[in-house]
This record gives sequence, structure tokens and C-alpha cells, in this order.
Amino acid sequence: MFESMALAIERLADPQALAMLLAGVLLGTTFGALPGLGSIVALSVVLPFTFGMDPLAAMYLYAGIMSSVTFGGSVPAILLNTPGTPPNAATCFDGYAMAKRGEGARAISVSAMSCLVGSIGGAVVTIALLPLIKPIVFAFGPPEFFGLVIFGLVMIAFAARANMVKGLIGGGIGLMLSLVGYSEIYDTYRYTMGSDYLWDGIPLVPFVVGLFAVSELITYTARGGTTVTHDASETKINWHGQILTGIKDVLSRPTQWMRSAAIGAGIGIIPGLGGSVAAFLSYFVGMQRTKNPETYGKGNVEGILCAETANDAKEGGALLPTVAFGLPGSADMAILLGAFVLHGMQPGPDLLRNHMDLIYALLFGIIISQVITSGLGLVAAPWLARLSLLPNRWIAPFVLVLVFVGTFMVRTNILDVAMAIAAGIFGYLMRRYGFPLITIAIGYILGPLAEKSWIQSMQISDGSLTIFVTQPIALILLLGALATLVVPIVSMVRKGRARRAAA
Amino acid sequence: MKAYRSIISGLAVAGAALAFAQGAAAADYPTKPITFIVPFGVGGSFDTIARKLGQRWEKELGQPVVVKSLPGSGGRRGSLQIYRAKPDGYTIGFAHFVPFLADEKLMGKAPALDLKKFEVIYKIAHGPNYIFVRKDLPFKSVKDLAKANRPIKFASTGVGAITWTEANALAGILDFKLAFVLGYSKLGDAAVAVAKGDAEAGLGTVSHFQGVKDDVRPLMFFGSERDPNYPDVPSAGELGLKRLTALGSPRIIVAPPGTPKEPVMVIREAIKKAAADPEFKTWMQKSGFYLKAQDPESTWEDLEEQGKVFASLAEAVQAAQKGKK
Repeated sequence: MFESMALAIERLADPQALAMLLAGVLLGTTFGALPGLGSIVALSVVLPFTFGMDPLAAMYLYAGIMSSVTFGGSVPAILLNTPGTPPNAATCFDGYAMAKRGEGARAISVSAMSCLVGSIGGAVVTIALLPLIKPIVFAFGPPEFFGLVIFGLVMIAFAARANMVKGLIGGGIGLMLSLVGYSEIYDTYRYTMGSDYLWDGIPLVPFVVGLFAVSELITYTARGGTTVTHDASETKINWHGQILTGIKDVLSRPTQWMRSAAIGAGIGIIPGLGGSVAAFLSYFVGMQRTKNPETYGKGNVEGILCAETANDAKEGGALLPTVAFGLPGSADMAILLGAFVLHGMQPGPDLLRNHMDLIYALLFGIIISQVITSGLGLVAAPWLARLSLLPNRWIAPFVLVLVFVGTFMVRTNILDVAMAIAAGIFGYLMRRYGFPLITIAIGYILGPLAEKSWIQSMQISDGSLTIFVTQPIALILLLGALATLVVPIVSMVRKGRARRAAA
Repeated sequence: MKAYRSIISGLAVAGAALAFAQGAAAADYPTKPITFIVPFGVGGSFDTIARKLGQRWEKELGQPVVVKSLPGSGGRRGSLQIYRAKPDGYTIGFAHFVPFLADEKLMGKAPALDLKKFEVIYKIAHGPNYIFVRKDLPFKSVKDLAKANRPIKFASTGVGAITWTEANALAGILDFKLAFVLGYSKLGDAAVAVAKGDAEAGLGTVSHFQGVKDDVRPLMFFGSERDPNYPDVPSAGELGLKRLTALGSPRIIVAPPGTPKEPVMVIREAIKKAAADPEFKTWMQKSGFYLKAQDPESTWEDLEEQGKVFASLAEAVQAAQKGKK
């Protein structure tokens, strides 16, 4: 173990390795920051170029991209309320609220630091759990997934406490939208309206980017002015001072980031959950554990911290099932898996036995490139944050073009742009009538998993509901979900009674 | 005046020369990069084969081969994209025939395209699966499955998928009952489900189950001969189950309907040469992709056979689907 670790560290001192990491960081940050484009596109673009490369050099390039994309994606989420990649959607809530207050640089600084502690935490968890990977992956099957999904869906009620009914309706709409498309289990097409465009359902990137970004562009074009709402002139805002505040914000909250990194790495390890789930789940757990949950979504630094730390920690976690079983934990890991095969390595027990140096190289590469990314981010933050002083009527058309190019590029399908516009108009209307977009997004993201894990559980148990009781992890998750749903209602009723008693 | 005339005649000559050059260029194929559509994600088996092949093949053709991944709908989306592309020889790709066959023969739905119209260039590989069971189960051969006298639970991606069809066909021939756990997005996930005990048996290639190879036991290889990767596992051919060898996932390179003969011939020769490269051969074998070069005629015969298997299962499946509604 230590031999291969030493070998990996030795290789990192090589200038070529550092050049690869740097190239990966620049590519990853750019692709992450452009709405619609993300690590999947970035990795697909570089894959053909890595053919002739030494496998380790190629790994460093991938590591650079994978670790920097999430930070890149958080920048537009904070400054423009436009998630650069779908997992950054959870960063919008508090990041943009901070940018509005004139604290854009602090928010970016928090995000950069969160990404840093996230990827280090993720790598540490990954190295620590490597010997346990088999029992962990084997412990999660359809009933456990169902428990997790229900837990996530219950969060909808929590996320929309101000208006639980509208929140639940939003979640229901999201769930229904997720049903569109081909269903493998029944071999039928649902609501495709005779068009092959909808075969794969409503596509994730155009829908999420449209829902959050395009609707926001409509809102702030209608509003005019600048992102920073009060008339703070540039001289009043100390952008550089905010960087330090942001660093302190993160370092003074060790429990929060350790918890978020553990959640992120955990979700990454369990194959089949995906990145957006990690950020949202960590965000809600943070919201639940804090003393003043009402400040979440209104510019609480903890919101960014929870989402971005988990977001970056999942990369390390997702590496485990990819190398140990050939099961990619996320879409970009699937591409990495292909890269392994192209370089003549077959993931599985043999890879763990013979190529541990490669896995350590990837993990160390992820950490080093995260240091570079966060460093660059902290340096650039004061200048980036000045975007929030530009008039919205200049920003909106520029961002709209970026959104259109990004959504088009993913599949080079012009209908995806139309989908982004439609989702944007839909999102704008939902905002106007007070339906929280986040609940729609959660319903839409968790819907397919909810259906699949339920049906699979029933197929495993031959239709018996006892499977959710006999599987301890599933039972704990379901009870947790129940408690999350009941506790706020009970406390609300109690408060109501106390108020009535006082009156 | 004279000067003008000489300029005009000069231009005429130049124009004629240009026209001739263009004519000559049209006869030469290819003169620009070729797009190769893969109906599955970047990094998947179809994609890696296309890229490895493309690398060699660029040297033959003298033009770059651009691999474009268009995943979705179990391979239908990318295949449809090839079908609709301009038939000029500059867009080709792997068409995934099986889901369209399943739509038509198994579910009785009008398929989104007419498979017969594809211009088959060459079949490069066949993906015969293995059937494997969890190691602690008493099954030592496929015949043991029939002795269990209870339904065997299989993990598979979905109704109409290759592994689903293979399991059904095997159960039909050996006369055992089966049940399914469906919906796994990848066959690797299905293999883990078998290893951890959510299902008893699964199907897939070496690359799908080698992550859990310590926990599963391969019972049979669906090819006509044994696989050098697992020389101890009997093949369907030697067990007298020849009908099953037509199943599996064929990797067929096609051109859009109506592509002229010349580009098809040029590409076919280039692929044949690339496939004969010993380094490519060993890479394919080690990665669990079975090189099986086949001309269009025998490729169509195999597809016909696969369609028959689907048709034989259609009645039972459609009845089951109606029962669920």
C-alpha cells in the first residue's frame, strides 16, 4: 500500500504530471463555469487525446478536470443564479442571495474553500474505506435506495416549510415530469407524444439549466438594475476583505464540512445515486441540523459550504466502485471507466491488486488540482464578484447565449435549446406563483430512482412489503424520513397550542 | 484587347482544370473526415471499440475518423441518427439492431425505422454473454437450473434487452421457470445484484461480471466455442444449444440507407485490415469483446434467427404485459 502511495507521490513531482493537472484544471474550470457544459463534456473532449499518453499522465489530466468542474460551476451559480452544472443547483440558493447583498467574493471564497476541504475529505474517506468497499456496496440494494429516496422526497416538505402545500405540489409536478420517456421495466414509451425526442425523458441538463437559469434571466431582465440590490457603490464593498472572511467562514465550521464531506463521499460510493443527490442531501441535512433553518436560502454561508463540500467529496467516493467493481458512481466516472479500458486495464479485483499506484495517483491528483483550483479561485474572486455590479440588462443576453451554446453542445441537438427555453418559461411562472423551484428539481431528479427502487424491491421480495422491515438500513432510513416529516408538524402544533394558551 | 483575351482564356483553362480536379476528387473517397456514430455513452464497450478501430483505420483511409457518441433509449437514438444521416459515406456508425427487433417482433409495435434498409458494411464483433449464478448456490451447470423445480430469479436491464431474451430462451429450451429483477441501468449493476443476493442468476460479458468474479460462478458461455478467458466454462455450442449462439449483442457497422457502393467497399476493406492487426486482436480478447468478422449476408442470417427467438417469446410477454395493466 505504502509502496504504491510513494510511487504515486514521486510521479506527482514530475513536471509533466503538474502540466497535465494544470491543463485539466483550466479545462475543468472553464467547462464547469459554462452553463450546460460539465465534466462529461470536458472528459469526452479530452478522451481521444489521451490515447497515446502514458496511463498515469492521462489520469492526472482526468483528475484535474474532475476536481475543478464543481468549483467552476459554482461561480455562475453564485453570481448569476445559473448553476454551471446540475449539481451546483443547490449552491444557487444561498450563493446568489449573498451576491445580492454584495457579498459575492465571500461566497466564491466559501465555495473555493469548501471544494478544497471537500476533495481532501473525500480522498481521505476513500482511502480509509478502500478495504471495506465490498461490504459497503453490497449493503445497498433497491430497498435501501428506496429508503434514501423517500428520505430525499420528505425533504421537499422541509425545504418548503414556508408553504408546504405549494412545495409538495411542486415536488409532485417534478415527479410527474420525470416519468416521461422509455421505461425499461415495462418496455413502453410514456408521454412521448409520438416524438423520439422524448424517448429518453425530459433531458437533465436543458431542464435544470432552463428551470433555474432561464427563469432567473426573465426575472432579472424584468426587474432591471444590478444583482447587488441596495445601492452599494463599488467603493463601499471591500471585495478583498471578503476573501479572508470566506476562508474563516469555512475553517470555523469543522463539524459542518466533515459531515458534508462524509455525506458526499458516502453518496459517491453508492453506485447509481449521482452527483445532484449528494449536494441536495447535504444541503438539507445541514438545514435540519442548524439552529436557524429559516436563514438557509437567504444567504447563509453554511448552505454553500454543505452543498459544495459534498459536491467535491463525491468525486473521491465515486472512484471506489468504479475501480473495484467497474461500476461507475457518476456519469463522469463512466467515462473514466472507458479510459481505463482503453489503456488496457480492466477494473475489478485485479485492478486493485496490480494498479493501486494509479488509484493513488488519481486521488492525489484530485487533491493537488483542487489546491490549484481553489487558489486560482480565491485570487480571481474579487474580480469575478464585480460582475454583480453590472446592470442586468447587459448580463442577461450574455448569459442567455452561454446557456444556449451550453445546452446545445451536450448532445448537439437544437431541440435541447427549445427545451431550456420551455423549462425557463415554466420555471418563471412557477416562481411567480410561489412554487419553490427546488422542490420541482428534487422531484424530477429523484423520481426515476423512486420508481425503479420500489419495483425492484417488490421483484426481489416477490411482492412482500416486509423487505423494508427486514433490511436494517432501509428500515432506519424510512424511520428517519418519517421522523423528519412528523417532528416539524408536531412542533408546529405545539407552538400553535402554546400561542393559543398565551392568548 | 490581346491582354484581356489571354486573361480570359487563362481563366477558362484554370476553371477547366479546377473542374477536372473536383471531378477527380469526387471519385476519390474519402476527401474529408468521417463521422462514426456510436449509440452508447463515451467509455462504453461500443465506444472503446470504435475508438481503437478508428485509430488504426485512419492510417488506411488517410482521413480522420471522428467518433461521436449519441447515447439514449437503449441504443435506439444513435441508431436512428445514422438512419437519418445523409447517405454520402461520411456518416457511418454502429447501429444497435436488437432493440428495434424487440420492438417489432416481441412487443408487436411498429419499429421507428426499417432495419432492412441499413447498408451493412461489416460486423466486427459479437458479444456472447455468460450466464452466471451466485457462488453459494448449488447450481454447477445450466442443466441444474431445471432441477431446482422453482422459478430462478434473474437480474437484467429490462424487458426486451439482450440478457432478458437470452434468459427466456434458455428457460424455454431447458424447461425451467424464471422470474426477473429488472431496471438495472448497467449489466455491471445487475452482476453486483447477483453477487449480493438480490437475484440468483445474471448474464453479461466478462467485463460486466469480473468486478464480482470472486462471488459468482459462470455456468455457460453463449458462443459456439469456449472463450479463452474462461477455458473451463462450457459453450452453448458444445452443449447442443446451437440456437442460442445467434443471440447476444452484434456490433455491426452500417451506413445510412442509400449510401453508394464505393464508400461502403472502401470502408469495408479498411476495417478488415484494421481488424486483422494482431495488437487489436489481443486487446479485444483481453477486454472481453469477441472479434467476429462477418460479411453482411451471414450477419443478416443471424439477425433473422434473433428475430425468430423474439417472435417465439412474443405471445407470453404480451400476455404478461396485459395482465399487469
